[in-house]
This record gives sequence, C-alpha cells and structure tokens, in this order.
Amino acid sequence: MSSKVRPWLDGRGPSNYVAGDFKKRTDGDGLTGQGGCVADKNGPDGTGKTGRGKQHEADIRDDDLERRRRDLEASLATRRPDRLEGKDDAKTGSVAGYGQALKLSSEFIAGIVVGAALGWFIDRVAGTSPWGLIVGLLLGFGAGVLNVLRSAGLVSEFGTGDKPRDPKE
Amino acid sequence: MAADKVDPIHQFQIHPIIPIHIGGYDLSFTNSALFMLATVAVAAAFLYLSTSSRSLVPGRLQSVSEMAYEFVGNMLRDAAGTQGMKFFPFVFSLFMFVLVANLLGLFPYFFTVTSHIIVTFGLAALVIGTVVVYGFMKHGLGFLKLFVPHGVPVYLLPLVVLIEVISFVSRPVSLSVRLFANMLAGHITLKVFSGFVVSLSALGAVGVAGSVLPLAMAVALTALELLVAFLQAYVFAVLTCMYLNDALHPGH
Repeated sequence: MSSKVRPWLDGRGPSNYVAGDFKKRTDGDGLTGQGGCVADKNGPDGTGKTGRGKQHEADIRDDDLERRRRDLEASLATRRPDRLEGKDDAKTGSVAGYGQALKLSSEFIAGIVVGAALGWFIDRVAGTSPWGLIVGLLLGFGAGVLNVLRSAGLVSEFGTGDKPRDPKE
Repeated sequence: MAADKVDPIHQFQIHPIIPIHIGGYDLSFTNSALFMLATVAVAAAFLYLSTSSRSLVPGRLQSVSEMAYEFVGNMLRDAAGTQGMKFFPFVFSLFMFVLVANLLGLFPYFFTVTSHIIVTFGLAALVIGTVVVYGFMKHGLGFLKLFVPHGVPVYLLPLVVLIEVISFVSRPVSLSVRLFANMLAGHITLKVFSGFVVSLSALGAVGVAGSVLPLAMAVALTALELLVAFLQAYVFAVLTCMYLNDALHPGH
C-alpha cells in the first residue's frame, strides 16, 4: 500500500515544505543516525517497486522521500519521550496527588482513632480512667506517624527490619 | 420548582423496602441491601455473559473482563507472589464488588453502597480477618513476628510492639475510612454543585446565565468521580494484596 501512496504524496503540492520543516528541527540534535537505521531497513522494497516507471525521476523522488522519512523518524523519536513525560507530570500533579493526600491523612487519623479507642476500652474494662486514654492517644499518635511514613515508603514494612518497600502503591 | 430545599445528605438515607423484624432485631430489606444485590447481580451477569462466548480472539466485552482478570491477577502476583494466587477469588470478588458499587452509585437516584462506613468496614474486616486467621493457621504463633521488627533494642521492644499492634489494628480502619470518605465527599460535592445550578436558575435570567459555572463544575466533578470510583476500587484491592502478603510471609 505504501508504495502506491508515496509517489502520489510526492508529486503533489509544494514538495519540500514538510522536508524542510523537519530538517530544520532535526539538524540540531544527534539523533538522526537512529532514524537513518530504521529508514535504511525499509528502503529496498520501496525503491524496487516505485522504480518501474520513469526511472531517473523516480530515483530522485525516492531519495527525497527516504531523506524525508529519515527526518520524520528522527523527529518523532525526539518528540515521543517528551510527550510521555508531560503526560506523567500532569497525572502526578492533580489526581495522584489528591489520592496520596487522602491516603496519608486517613492513615494518620486511623492510627490516632484506634489508639484512643483501645485506651478508652482499657479504661472501661480496668477502671484506670483517664490514664488508658492518655497513653492510648500518645501511642496512637506514634502509630499514626508510623502508618504515614510506612505508606509513603520511608519506613520498612511490617516484620522487616531493613529495606523499605517501593513507595508506589 | 422548589429549589430552595436541597439536602445533600438525603441521598444517603437508608429506608426499609420490605420490613423484617426477627427477635427484636431489625433485619429489614433496605435500599442499601437492594443495591448490594444489584451490585452482585450486575458484576456476576457482566462477567458471565461477557465470557460466555469463550472465543479465542476476545470481543470487546470479553476483553474487558479478561483485562479485569489480568489486572487483579498481576496486582496480586506482584504484591504477594505466586502463593498469593490462592486468594485470587477473594481479591477479585472484592475488587469487582467495590468497583461496580462505586460505578452504580454514579447513576442519578441510585444509592451508593460504599458511602456507608459500616459497609466498607465490613469489607475491610473481612480482609483483616482473613489475614489474621490465615496467618495463625499457616504460621501459628510465628505470625506474631509481624509485630516485632528486626534490630530493635530490647528495652524499646514493649513500646515498639504496642505501636506496631495499634498500627496493624488501624489498617482496616484506614482502609474502610478511605473508601467511605472518598465516596461520601464526592457525592456530597456533586450534589451541592448541582443544587447551585437549580437554585441559581430560579433567580431569573442572570441566575440562569450564572448557573453555567456550577453546571460546568458538576460535569467536571462527575468525570473526577468516575476516576475516583476506579481508583478507590484499585487502592482497596492493592492494599488487600499487601495485607495478604503479610499473612503469607510474616517477617520474611
């Protein structure tokens, strides 16, 4: 299919405006070699088919086309990582940040609530009011901080002493 | 239209549909129960029907269920290893239940099951109960090593163990509070902004023009809620996997 499309694309309109644009863009960076490899691999089958008619003109056209394709590959290669990174940044900026904030705050509050509830329960059972609640709140605060650090990946997981888990979740 | 009375909490009210009282307990079939049943029915019907053709090259629906399967499977395998795959039915059911319940709740006039903390706490208690029971079954008292970090000085051990125990007990609380708070806050916000649209447009031409802003906000919030519905189901399932990992390998 591509062999049919190429001459048609080439013979139409201002033939060098795309090429010029890409050339300007890719001259500066060192990535043209990469694109060249890909283009060379694809080269032979294209030239074999399109060279059937007026040979000389077709050769020139093919050269032009190869150059353009190489430039296109290179410029695509330089653009692709940028786009992906930009997308990632946008994602971590809004949504994941919101999720992270909710996660950390719920971990912290859960620690305190559970500590206080346990202390209060011990008070009820043993009649040591208000000491159980006070100690429970303090310990719960400690547990809340531990929860937050753990879910942020800064402290090791349960039962392990050394390596923290990946911060992603 | 009576626009002055917009109650954002009204949507969370539980009312009995079929009153059942047994031995002094109120066991009525409520709207919450109805939507739990609907959730289970929708999830089961979707998975059953979409996979019923069993074609080698999946159609659209079949590939959605296969994606869900692989998604949860990979999640569990990453977090708890291949041994964790024995819990796959459990995690997958939880994931599908929470996901479908969240998504059903996005429909207007539908009840959001996961916006009640007792429901999410029930799910979280199920998870943590599984972890504790399986941990003791598999490792006996060795499961308690979970609460004793390596390399802690002996004189600090009582304090550290207490804190670790509280931290462990707080897990189901934070798990349930997170899901519940997300759904509750999202639905209240959505309701409030939709309420603004109604009350503003009752103020005449200027109000109608002004109500475009909260309407746009409500549309954006709906999209956000859709995302949150997925995200919270995912987070719930991931944390379940991590807790199950503790039951499988305490103090690895």
